[in-house]
Amino acid sequence: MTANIQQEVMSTIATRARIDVATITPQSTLASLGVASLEAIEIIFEIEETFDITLPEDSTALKTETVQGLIEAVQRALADKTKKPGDS
Amino acid sequence: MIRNNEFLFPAGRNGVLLIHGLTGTPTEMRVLGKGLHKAGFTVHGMQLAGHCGDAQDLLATGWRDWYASVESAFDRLRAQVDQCFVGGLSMGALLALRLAAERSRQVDGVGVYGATFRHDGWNIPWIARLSFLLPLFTRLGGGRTRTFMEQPPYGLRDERVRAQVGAAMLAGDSGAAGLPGNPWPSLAELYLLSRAVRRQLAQVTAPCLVAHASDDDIASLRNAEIVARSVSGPVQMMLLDNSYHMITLDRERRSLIARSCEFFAQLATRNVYKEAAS
Repeated sequence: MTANIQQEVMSTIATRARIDVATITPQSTLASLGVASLEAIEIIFEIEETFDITLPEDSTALKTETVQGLIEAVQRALADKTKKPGDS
Repeated sequence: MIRNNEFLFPAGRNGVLLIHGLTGTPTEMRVLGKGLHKAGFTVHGMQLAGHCGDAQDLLATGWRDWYASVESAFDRLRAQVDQCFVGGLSMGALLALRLAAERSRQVDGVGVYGATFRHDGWNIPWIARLSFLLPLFTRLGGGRTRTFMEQPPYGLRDERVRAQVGAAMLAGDSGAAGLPGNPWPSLAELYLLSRAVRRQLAQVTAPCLVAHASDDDIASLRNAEIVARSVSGPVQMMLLDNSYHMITLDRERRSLIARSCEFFAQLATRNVYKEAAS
């Protein structure tokens, strides 16, 4: 599952930034990949759409957020989604 | 220099033309465009004349130029599809309504997003609320170089989007985020367009989806109500309680996209049956 999330996140970034997915590492930041601010927003929207989640507004300082940070944010949002009401 | 930010997502024989707002950019319609495209529509996000450049580029144009660019984009898209819908945000909604009034046989439905006849939202300073006087004032030669600067929250409740849009706008990236302010003469043009469109609303016979933020910071709900009570076609209202003016980008964008897809798809199906029966 984690590998799928990583693959999906990286492929979304690669498509939007028009770069080879092989150049993206978990440590890359969106800024270092040449992603402009509004493209970053589109990437976030697309990731939310793909996984049917809403990432918290304060979870990502988009320009400096690493790809790994994004992957972890998606994992947390997916875990929250599957949590049953009343679970702690 | 004006940058071309238009987008075209080709798909089926039902098309949607998307129109951005004053000092805006096709980028503000892109997420909606992608959603419609995913639902099978051919989508064209057009760029208004004089937009995506600097203030001088914008000032060289007026509402008739903006509308002419809408007509020409519509003609191009109409030639590629069987049914054609149009959707606009803010001033783009007014241009969409004018097109629906003037081309009532060609426009099959209208998405009226955050229609702005008048800047009367809660974040508009009192002096700017008098901007409906601008056509007279600028005709007398006043305010040619003045601009109403955009103020946070920039029509956005979503703080992530607001931070990015604000940063891009203030950095001068008008192609991506639009100009950071409304030049007075351009606002005067908006009010001239607004008057013209209000007189034509009864000629709009196409069904309308009127979507508006209930707490709109730029244009109050009264703007949506004007549309709902004045057009002749059937109206569906959609109030968004957790968004500000830029509803195509704000927190409830996904609900807006889903409702727009459903609205246009229903019209497309109904029209196909109607044609088959006749």
